[in-house]
Amino acid sequence: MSTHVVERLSEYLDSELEPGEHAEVRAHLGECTDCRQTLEELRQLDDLARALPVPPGRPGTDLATRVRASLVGEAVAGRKRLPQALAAAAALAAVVALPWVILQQSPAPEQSAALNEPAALPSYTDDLRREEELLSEPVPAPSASDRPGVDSAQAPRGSAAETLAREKAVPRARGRELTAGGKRREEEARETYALGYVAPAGPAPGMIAEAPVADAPAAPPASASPAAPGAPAPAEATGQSAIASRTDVAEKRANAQRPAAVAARAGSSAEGARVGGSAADVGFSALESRTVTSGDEARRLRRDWRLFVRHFPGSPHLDDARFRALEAGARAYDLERRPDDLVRLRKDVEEYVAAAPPARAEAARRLLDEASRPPSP
Amino acid sequence: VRRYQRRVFAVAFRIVRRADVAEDVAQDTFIRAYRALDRFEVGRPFGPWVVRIGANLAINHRRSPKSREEELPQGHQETPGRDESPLEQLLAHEAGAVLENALEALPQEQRAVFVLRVYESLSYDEIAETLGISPGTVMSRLSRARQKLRVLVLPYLSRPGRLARGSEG
Repeated sequence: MSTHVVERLSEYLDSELEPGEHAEVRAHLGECTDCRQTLEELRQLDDLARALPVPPGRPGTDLATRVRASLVGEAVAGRKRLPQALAAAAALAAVVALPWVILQQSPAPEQSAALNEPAALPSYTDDLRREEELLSEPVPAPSASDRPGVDSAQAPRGSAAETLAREKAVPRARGRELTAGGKRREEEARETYALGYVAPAGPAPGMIAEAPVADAPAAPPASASPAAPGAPAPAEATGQSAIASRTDVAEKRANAQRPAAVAARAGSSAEGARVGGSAADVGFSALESRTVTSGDEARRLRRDWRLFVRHFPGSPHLDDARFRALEAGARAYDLERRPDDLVRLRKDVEEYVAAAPPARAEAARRLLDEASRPPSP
Repeated sequence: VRRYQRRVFAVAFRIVRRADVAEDVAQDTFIRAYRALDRFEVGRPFGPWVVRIGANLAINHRRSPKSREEELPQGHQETPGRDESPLEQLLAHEAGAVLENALEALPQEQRAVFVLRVYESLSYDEIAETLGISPGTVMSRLSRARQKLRVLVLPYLSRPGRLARGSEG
């Protein structure tokens, strides 16, 4: 009988031996009862270990919620260390809270029936369906009067290539210009946005502290000045009167579309409104850097781009964001080939094309064409 | 997070042996994973990547002085299988308790290798990469861990096929 192989049985069991060694051990096992017995015991040991239970986690709290809260909490905690970050955090809290609040106030089912959704959307999550209900109203078309002059006053939209070049240039240029405080704010917003707006169980820590519901003043009419307490959108005002006036139209429109309580809650921080421009920039950047590896992630990204459009109607990135929403929708269909994704993409493109400049409209049509093609074998 | 939280929690629990600590480790895991997303290669499976982060954090937690001051884990709480006789259930329960204690007594580096191999089915190369050790070290640690555990639970394994589930014999 050959030498016992007990020391190699663990590797044998895991099929980690070289082929020659494996055959050698196997041959030995054929003639050695002791080693066979030991191998069987090792197998049983693994089985027994796998059968050991893992206790349930802490009741009452969802890990995803805590992870989100932790990241958002870190961002908000920056207020205490950096005075300049105070306003940014306030704006971020408002920005993050908005989708949650809006989701809480989504239209009743009977209302949603009239929102012109495709009749049969199979197996879409409730979360996404609610978001669709929220966002199914036509998105305001970008116009000169809606755009703040800071970036949009640059060269008019030209060819698709120019547009794409500008899209790619924006983050790089911004990166060079960032100060230390700006980087901090960017980090905060990046963390916040990249978490997505996936139906949070409740607002993360910091949100309520920024804008308690019970204490929030009633929102003034949509025609009120956006600079008035309780009224301003948290998104685009920068604290500079010139810019504020340029975003006036967009903010009024946004406020008019939001439920009063939402506007009140979002606008309860004037500081938040003053730094909203930064939040839009970093939010754009954060969404831009999101990685998509599944259909669900692509759908969430599409939704978040659309929420961005909704919440930052005066952003110079508005049109880019709208196009990114299309791309995310196309990516969802590309990844999973679900018919409802294609239906949604067609609707999105149709909506976009109706209001986009010709070059962008053409790019959107091309996107749809490419997405609609059957996958290459 | 929701898709992988149970898996990450399970690996962390099996290494740190405490549910509350494992939850904290799982939470840290996803935060770290989020921050390291730019290092994640798109197209590769996300699960093993995030599990490895969790395993490393769990191991580091075990190494920390604070973890040594913490209480020992609760006892074994296995629910016996329904298709076993009362005696088999008793033996299985006892075997589980013994194995729990044996796992607890293992050096943490051996336990980590055992957990990644037995529960996560990682290859030796993958374990080596995860823990920053050589495949040879993985092999020796795993072999030693199994031999120690086997000796401790041997009374329950002495009759092949009696307690094991799904073993091939």
